[in-house]
Amino acid sequence: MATVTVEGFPVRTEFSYDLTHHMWVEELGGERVRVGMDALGLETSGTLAHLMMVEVGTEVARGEPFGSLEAEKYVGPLVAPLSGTVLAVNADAVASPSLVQSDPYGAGWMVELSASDLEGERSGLVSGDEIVTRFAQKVTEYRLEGVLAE
Amino acid sequence: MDRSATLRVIDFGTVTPLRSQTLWHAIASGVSAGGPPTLAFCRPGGRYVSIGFHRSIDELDPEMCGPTGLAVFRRMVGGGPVYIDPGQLFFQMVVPADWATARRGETIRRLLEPAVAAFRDVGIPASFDDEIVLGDRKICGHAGGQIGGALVAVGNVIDSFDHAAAASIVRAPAPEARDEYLRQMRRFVAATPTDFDAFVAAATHRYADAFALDPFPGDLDATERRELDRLDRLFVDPEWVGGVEGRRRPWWRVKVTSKVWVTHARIDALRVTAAFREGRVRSVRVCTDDGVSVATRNVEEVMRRFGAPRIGELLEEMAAGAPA
Amino acid sequence: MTVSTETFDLRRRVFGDVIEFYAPGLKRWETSEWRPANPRRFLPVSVTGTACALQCDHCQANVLKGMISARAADDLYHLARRLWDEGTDGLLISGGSTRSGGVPLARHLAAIARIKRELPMRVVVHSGVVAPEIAEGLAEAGVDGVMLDIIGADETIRDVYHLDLTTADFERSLACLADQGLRIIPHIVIGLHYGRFLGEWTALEMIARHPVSTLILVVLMPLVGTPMAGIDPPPADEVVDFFALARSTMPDTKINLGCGRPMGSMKQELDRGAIDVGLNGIAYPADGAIAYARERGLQPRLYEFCCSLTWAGEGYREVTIR
Repeated sequence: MATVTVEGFPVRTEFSYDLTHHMWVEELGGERVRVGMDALGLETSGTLAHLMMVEVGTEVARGEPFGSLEAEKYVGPLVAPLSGTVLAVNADAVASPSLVQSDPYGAGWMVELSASDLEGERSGLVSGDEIVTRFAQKVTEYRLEGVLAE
Repeated sequence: MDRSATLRVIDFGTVTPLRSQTLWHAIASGVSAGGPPTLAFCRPGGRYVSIGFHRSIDELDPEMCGPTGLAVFRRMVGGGPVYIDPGQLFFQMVVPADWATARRGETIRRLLEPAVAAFRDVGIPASFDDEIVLGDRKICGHAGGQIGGALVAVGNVIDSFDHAAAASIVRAPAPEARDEYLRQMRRFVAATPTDFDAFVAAATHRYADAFALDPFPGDLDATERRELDRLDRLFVDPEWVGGVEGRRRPWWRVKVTSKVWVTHARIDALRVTAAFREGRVRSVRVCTDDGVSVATRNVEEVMRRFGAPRIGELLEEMAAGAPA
Repeated sequence: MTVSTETFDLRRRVFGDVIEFYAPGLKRWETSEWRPANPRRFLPVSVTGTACALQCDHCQANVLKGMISARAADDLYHLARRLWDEGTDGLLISGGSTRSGGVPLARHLAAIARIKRELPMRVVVHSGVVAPEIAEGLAEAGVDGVMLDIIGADETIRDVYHLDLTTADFERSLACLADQGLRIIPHIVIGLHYGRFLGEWTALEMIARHPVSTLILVVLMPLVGTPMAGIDPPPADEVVDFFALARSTMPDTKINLGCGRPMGSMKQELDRGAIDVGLNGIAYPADGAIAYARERGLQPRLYEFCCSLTWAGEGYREVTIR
């Protein structure tokens, strides 16, 4: 397990990332993956007030919602980074969204999936050596747009 | 007409409570499907309760709301329980989801700023401070979110506000909790008597100007009308209205404005009700079951009076963090 | 954990640091901080003596007992002239109400005009509900201000005042007075409906819709011998909250805490609260209130006239605390 700080944000380098929707993926073995939100996604969402996730057994598609979050009266989708079937939902995070803010890569995970096309869809995620560079680029991009303070 | 540079403006006029919700949800589906950015207005023709997407129906008073009381409709954007009556004008700005900035709060602010300017145009010196305010009072309830492929920001202009009715719709754990909620609402939520037609005209001009769009008067298209029929059925479906189980909290709390909230909890035989503004105590009332009731702003005094230092600890916890 | 006083900052931004305390000769009064030098400087006159057709449940003409009686045959000018000679330079012309809710001022308008022409006196009238003709007459007479209670609940107008009027009649009175360009000094009696809040918020909204000079907030004083004897006034913290609401609703208007409010510890609490939430002035301040205002960084100024005369600071000798 390796957590590095990239431009002020913690990043777990052994995970894969959908940097567009700010979701991380941890491979648990076989087709089983765990999914959560990265630190940059939390920063731009604001303080999480509510989370809702689909039920166990639901089929989700990459790029489509698997749940919703609410922050500052704004409701937005939680977007699945991979396609698959929901195997588990983190009830603690639903009951207390602050858990996601305090430990986004650990206790604040959101769902576990049985990925239906892990081999094929993994290439759509950022992983390995590219993570730090691509994450830093994203932060820089946000700073230039004024989304993040300098 | 190049729809990408236009702003469809629809003033639905006075509509039923159900339609005052489903119409703009239908517009969201139309914009998701490639329709033009749309600014819509309507006036609810009756009283009802609107509850936010993630909120629990248990937050509502069961006598005032539901089958024997006011109709309840669950919207697909955020926020909590809201009392609606004909003294309000709703407005919604619906745009493609790719208009969002990465920071969600910023997105909402940008979609509400033209409304702030419209308030000023009609003589109300409003400003934006996490929400639309006049001085330290909230004058517009707002919410937002992504519905399908559309971003929606909704708000209301309050010509007259029945504070007592608004306080009656929440399930309160004790009479003094509801009383405190009402009191803080009277202090911090204000109506701004407005000519609705003037606001519609001002807002149209401001939204068009802010987003460099040409406004044109429009209506729902055929697809949106079909979606409207579906939404009319969905919004009265008990399963939809029922929503999901809410978060369990260690104590009751209700939001008055983005900065003001009221809490209530029991410590043994004491019922503690408190109001906060930005984390600082506005008032504390401690009641006992045998009728003692002490109200003060002095926390130390109330701790001494009841010999309960835990009141101070509880209040410290309650003060930290405004509810959603 | 500190108590929030958000409207205090607002008042400092709009009005600066001066806070005004008033002690007209409406009653015998002094505290450890202030003994007025000339308790006869500003006096109340009742044009109906102790008579009042309404006999409102909270007053029953008690308030008239402390006033100088000007009976029907008296010429108000000569009375004013006599008082002027004895050191009075301001008058509140008031009285009991007729069945229509107004003080019978019509027959005194010529005398008031003469007072204003020939004597350098401030004249404020308590009008009650007014018709346009009276408003016009008051403007022509040159009165310095018009006070009236604004009631925001039909129930209170009916049950407490025994008047067959509605809140619209009170709002029309404000409009009549405003049309004549008169200085309007509306009063809200907090807790008027038998000790509870009822029409206060509506009254505030009504007042905020009109150009008023000064808003005076008073608090029900349950009087012995009236139907409200023994009733508890509303809780002090709720009253102070209403002060803050008034401050926030009318950030540019002077708002004073008037002389009608319960005594004792409640008065102390109300006065501190009024200072904390940013009211501009207090009539007959409780002992220690002036010092408290200084503690809050305000600069007290003391005036021996009615708190309705907020514009009249110039020309009046400032009184220092002994």
